[in-house]
Amino acid sequence: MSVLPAASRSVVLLAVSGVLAAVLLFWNGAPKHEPAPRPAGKDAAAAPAWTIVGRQGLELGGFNQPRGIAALPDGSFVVADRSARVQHFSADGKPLALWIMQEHALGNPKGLAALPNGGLLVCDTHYGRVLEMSIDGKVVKQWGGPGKEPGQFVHPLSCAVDARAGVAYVVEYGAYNDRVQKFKLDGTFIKAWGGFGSEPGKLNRPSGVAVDGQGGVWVADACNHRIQKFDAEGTLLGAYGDLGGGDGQLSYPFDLACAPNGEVFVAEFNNNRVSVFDAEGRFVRAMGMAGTQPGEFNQPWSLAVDAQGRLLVSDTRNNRVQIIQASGPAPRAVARAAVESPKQAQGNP
Amino acid sequence: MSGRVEQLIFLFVVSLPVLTVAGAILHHRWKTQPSARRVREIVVLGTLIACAAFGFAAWYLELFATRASSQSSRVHFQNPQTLLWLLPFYVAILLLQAHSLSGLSKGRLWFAFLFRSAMLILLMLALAGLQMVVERDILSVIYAIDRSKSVPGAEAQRALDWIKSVQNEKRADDKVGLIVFGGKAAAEVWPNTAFQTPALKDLKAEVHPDATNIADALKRAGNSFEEGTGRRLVLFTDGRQTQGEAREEITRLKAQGVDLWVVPLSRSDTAEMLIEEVKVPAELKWERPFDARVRIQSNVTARARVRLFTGDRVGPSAYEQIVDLKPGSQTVQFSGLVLKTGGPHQIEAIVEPLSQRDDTLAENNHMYTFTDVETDSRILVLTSDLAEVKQLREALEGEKVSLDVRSGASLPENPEEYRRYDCIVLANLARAFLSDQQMSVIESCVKDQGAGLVMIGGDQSFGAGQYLGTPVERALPVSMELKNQKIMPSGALGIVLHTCEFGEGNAWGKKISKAAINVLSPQDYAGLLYFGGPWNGSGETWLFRPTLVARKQYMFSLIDGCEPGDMPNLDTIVSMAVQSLAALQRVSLKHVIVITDGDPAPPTPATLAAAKSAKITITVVTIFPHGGADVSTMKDVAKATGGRYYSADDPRKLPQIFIKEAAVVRKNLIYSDEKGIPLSIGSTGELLRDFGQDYPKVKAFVVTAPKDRAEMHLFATVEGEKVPVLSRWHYGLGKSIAFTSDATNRWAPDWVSWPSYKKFWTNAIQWVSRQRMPSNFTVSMPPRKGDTQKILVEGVDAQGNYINFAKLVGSATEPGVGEDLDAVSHRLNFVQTEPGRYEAEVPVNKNGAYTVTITDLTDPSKPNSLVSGFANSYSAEFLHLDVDHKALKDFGDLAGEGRLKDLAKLAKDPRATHPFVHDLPPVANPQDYFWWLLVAAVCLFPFDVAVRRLHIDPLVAWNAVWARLAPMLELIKSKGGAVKDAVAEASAKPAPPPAPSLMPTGSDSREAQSRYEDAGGSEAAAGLDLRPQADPKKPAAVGGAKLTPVDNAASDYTRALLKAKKKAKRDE
Repeated sequence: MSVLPAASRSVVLLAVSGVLAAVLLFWNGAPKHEPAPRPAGKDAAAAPAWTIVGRQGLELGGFNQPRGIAALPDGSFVVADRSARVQHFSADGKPLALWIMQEHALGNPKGLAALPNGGLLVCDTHYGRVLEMSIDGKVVKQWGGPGKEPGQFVHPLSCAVDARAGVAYVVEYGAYNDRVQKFKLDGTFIKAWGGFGSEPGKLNRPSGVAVDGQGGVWVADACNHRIQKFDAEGTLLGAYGDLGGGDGQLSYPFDLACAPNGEVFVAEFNNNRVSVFDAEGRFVRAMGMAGTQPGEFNQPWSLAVDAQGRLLVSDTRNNRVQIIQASGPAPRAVARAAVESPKQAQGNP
Repeated sequence: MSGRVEQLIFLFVVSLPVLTVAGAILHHRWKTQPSARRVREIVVLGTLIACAAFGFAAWYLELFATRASSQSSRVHFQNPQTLLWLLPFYVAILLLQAHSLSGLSKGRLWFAFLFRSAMLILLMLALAGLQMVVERDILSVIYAIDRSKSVPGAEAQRALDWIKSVQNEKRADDKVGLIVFGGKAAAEVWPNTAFQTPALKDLKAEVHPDATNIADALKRAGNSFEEGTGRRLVLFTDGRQTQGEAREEITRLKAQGVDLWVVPLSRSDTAEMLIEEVKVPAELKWERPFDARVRIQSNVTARARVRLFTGDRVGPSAYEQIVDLKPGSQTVQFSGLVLKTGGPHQIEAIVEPLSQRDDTLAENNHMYTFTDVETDSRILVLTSDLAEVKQLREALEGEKVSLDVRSGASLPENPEEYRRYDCIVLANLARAFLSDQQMSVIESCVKDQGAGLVMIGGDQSFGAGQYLGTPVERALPVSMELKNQKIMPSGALGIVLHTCEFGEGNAWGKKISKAAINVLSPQDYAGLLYFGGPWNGSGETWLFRPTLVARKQYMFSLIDGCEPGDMPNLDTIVSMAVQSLAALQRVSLKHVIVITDGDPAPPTPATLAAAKSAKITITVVTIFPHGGADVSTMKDVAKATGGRYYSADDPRKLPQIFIKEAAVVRKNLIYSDEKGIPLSIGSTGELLRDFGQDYPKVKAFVVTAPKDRAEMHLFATVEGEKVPVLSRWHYGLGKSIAFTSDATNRWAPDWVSWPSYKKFWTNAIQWVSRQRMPSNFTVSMPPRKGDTQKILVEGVDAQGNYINFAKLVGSATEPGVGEDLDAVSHRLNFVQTEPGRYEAEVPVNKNGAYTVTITDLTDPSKPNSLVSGFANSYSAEFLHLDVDHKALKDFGDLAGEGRLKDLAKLAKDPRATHPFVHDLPPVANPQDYFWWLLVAAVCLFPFDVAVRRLHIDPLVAWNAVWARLAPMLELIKSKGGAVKDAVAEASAKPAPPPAPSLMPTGSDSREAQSRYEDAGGSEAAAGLDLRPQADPKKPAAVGGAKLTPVDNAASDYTRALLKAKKKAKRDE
């Protein structure tokens, strides 16, 4: 340093301190931690990529806490959110159309299901009714009204359509009248079963219902933290899951959907993940965890599986829908699942 | 020193150097020239110089001495004697110069002399204090017109008319301005030379016509005059001043040299009636009749109605008489008035003419006065609802007490106000209505000042009113803290907080939670649950577990920061609350409040049954419920456990909700029995002396614990324990009574209908109240000046000595306190000004009677207070009907002889007496030149030095400069020439050869340039070569090829110069 004249010395010092200061100011510390690719449950095979659709907002393509989601036969899907809007997206996530429920002062619609005629069944929860609507938002027919009688609803939360059998199932809760109701596709009431309680066969806030390939009816029994399987007449076939966060445990399962290959996907509101069970109610794998990254969820209310085995999850608090190819197509030979006895249905398979 | 002499001295001093030089030249010529010529020369020169001098002097003196314009300037010396020193110094310079500067040439010598002497003269003039004095003969006239309400507009118009008429007499340079005034003065027209008299309606300045402040107007006018002008102020007024003292201002103006004219304005003769005074005794004895005298002044005969208002709440309050008024003053008497309520009163008198044309101004038809009805004690009753004290009031009013009942918003805010009462009654007033400071003052009133305190029960009183641990509780003979386990006062509150779909709902939920916790007592428990989100178990979690409410603030901050999540299910969370509360020991009342929107799945019947068996009541509050089904479900939940259901759709209902809910927890403090609770006698004493052995039953009372030293007169037996109902004790200097049942039909209907009810309460209040002690102080109020009222308090003790260093506190309450929300209570700060004399001031801006209470706290064991008051009626502006002749005469005398004019006389002949007579002494405006002269002298100094030291031969200097300049000029010239040559050559050639072109471009340019150079030879030298050519044959190619031989001599000379220069350089 002494070889340099004094002026140069100070210049060099100044430059060095300037560089140091800049480094300290703008360097954010350790490089960003990239989350290690998480194996989805036990299946450590190459994790498929999640597609994110939508973001927070009230414009077309934006969500305000999306809840009900239903897949249409052509691969497109509809999503209902907390601003009483229903949006129709194309298969690759492009927003196509949007409509707002005409009456939503009392509350927003929750569950949706696609009808074989191209229309939609919308559970208008706080109005105690199910609306049959066209894909462009016009009400075609109203099923039921507020009440506890057969054919009436207190708070219908979700619905599922069995196109082959020509029936639809609606689950509801409220006024200790939690039950499953079965209707013809023209809205005629067929039967109802369930009831409020925690024993197998009883329901406490059944907030999701799905129909599998054999006509079985799966119900997400949210406040009992389990899923139950019934046959088309309402006979209990099995109840699976209990409260917890581990494998095969559930915490407020809000919705479920049956994939073409028989798997049952369950959206867990409080565990922020999707658990997968097989047709016998055995735990297969769990997908996702709490967070905001792709593949992470925040209080997912609903999910749907389309005919191609794509899983669409309504990632409610993250204001988005996540899509992934989660399941294979329907196996060609459908092995009839052995009907388990009710005794075996309890506890962890 | 006369002006002319100063001018001459100045001239002489300034021309001194010139004269000296002239003299020297003459002398020299005289010496050198032959005699004949020299005489001629002298004569000629002398005449020339004399003419020049004379002409200059004439011009100078005439120019500066002219008086044709209104301005003249002349020279003035402040210290002319300094100039005497000039002469010896001057001579010294001359002599010394001859000595020291002898080496210089003649011209230089004289220059040096000139510089020297100029410096000296400048310094001398500066020291002599040279000033330029500008005298102006400009006059400024300002008119000040009184525009207060006592002066009618017609009079002001007369003034303006006269102003207009004299405007013609104004000289061009004179300035005129206009000021109007009332309570304050404002400039209507600033002094200017182009003054136009405004019309009366154009006078727009805001002057507070309800008062007259002549002094302010004079001061303002005095400040508006322009500097350096003569000043004359013409004042138009009726002399009635309400503020300020004009006489002092006039004296001051006169001292400043302002010429003041006073022009009185008269009142017109409109009909006017006014009340001059209302006289009632300042203090009245209880129920003693008195007379009120109303003095009315009128200037016409008229019929009028006179009314008197006494502000009596019990007896008649208005009296009326019709009177016939004559011009002058008369008194109307109202006899035999009796006031039936005690305490301070405002008496108001109004006079109304029966015919409108008998009165012009209405402001002076009201008059207020103050009186105080003496009572045994002054009682302040504070309550939450006037209905609580209805029966009590009826019992006490009409007794010799003055009752001041305040409720809700009209509770006295200023804590010091509580001090003037002899007894304070808290009738079912919750602690929440009193600030900590107010409670401390109440305690201090009892303890330190001997006042009395009574607390009457109710659902917001004693412990139920949260008085536990307050200063008020300390002063009462019962304790709110119940140590008896059998009664088990603690409660536990669990709150379940659920968010709702609408934003405000969360805020309300938090508000309700906090408010509910807030009304719990420190020995209660509170816990809060919410759906914490997906991070733990099933999501339901405690914000804080049931904890003692002593940590209230901590709980509140947790609630504020809590983000209740979207709860799917009420069952888990309610069952958590139930389990936790059930586990608490020694808590008698357990309660759960569920705040939700009704959406989640309701609690299972099992949970509800568990709650019921643990005696836990569940109340549900729904905020923005979705609809009927939710509501009915929630209602069922509440009913199943014996709780309540509320729908909080209106924020105004929120306070009711939490008060009621908290009361559930506190309910155990109120012991009630519909059948009636019998009371037993504890100790007898004054309070119960006259009432025998049987006392009526009460339906309910607030449970309290007796204090050791207190006397428990009446008690009830609850679970074998004696619970006080009527207790009393002494606390400090004062006394207090606790009556834990109430004084209304709600809890004590039997008492209300008891014949001795009135006597009981009168007795109790009388016993507990402080005795009025005679005061050693007297109060007086001097007449008011301006907006403040002075209050004088004088104290003389029993031995006749002045009371000094007394601690006086007091307050003055504005009229209408209690009804008028704007009326405030002013704190009085007393300052001792003389032995035994204290003064305070109060701002007064409302009409009516002000009540003044003063308490002497010097000896806390013997506090005594006195009550007085004063009234503020209309401004004195309206008081008089005529001109203040005396004031006007005083103004005129102070202004000077003959300064009091008569407007009528002035108006008759404006040209005879007008304000534009220039008879004022002219104003001189001197301008100092000290610094200028000094600066000039200093600037001459370098020249003085230069002329002696610097040898600059101008010719040599010039040549040197030229030597530098010339080559450059030649260079420019030759360059231009070379280009011209090249252009000429190029155009001369028929056709340029194909290569190389004569005008090369691009990279070839340099090569071509050199070729060009070679081709050009000496003639076409590019001209960039300045190196000296050693070749003697060639002429020095200085500056270029084409040297136009213009001037041989010059170039030879230049060359020679250059050579010499180079030679010199080489020799260095």
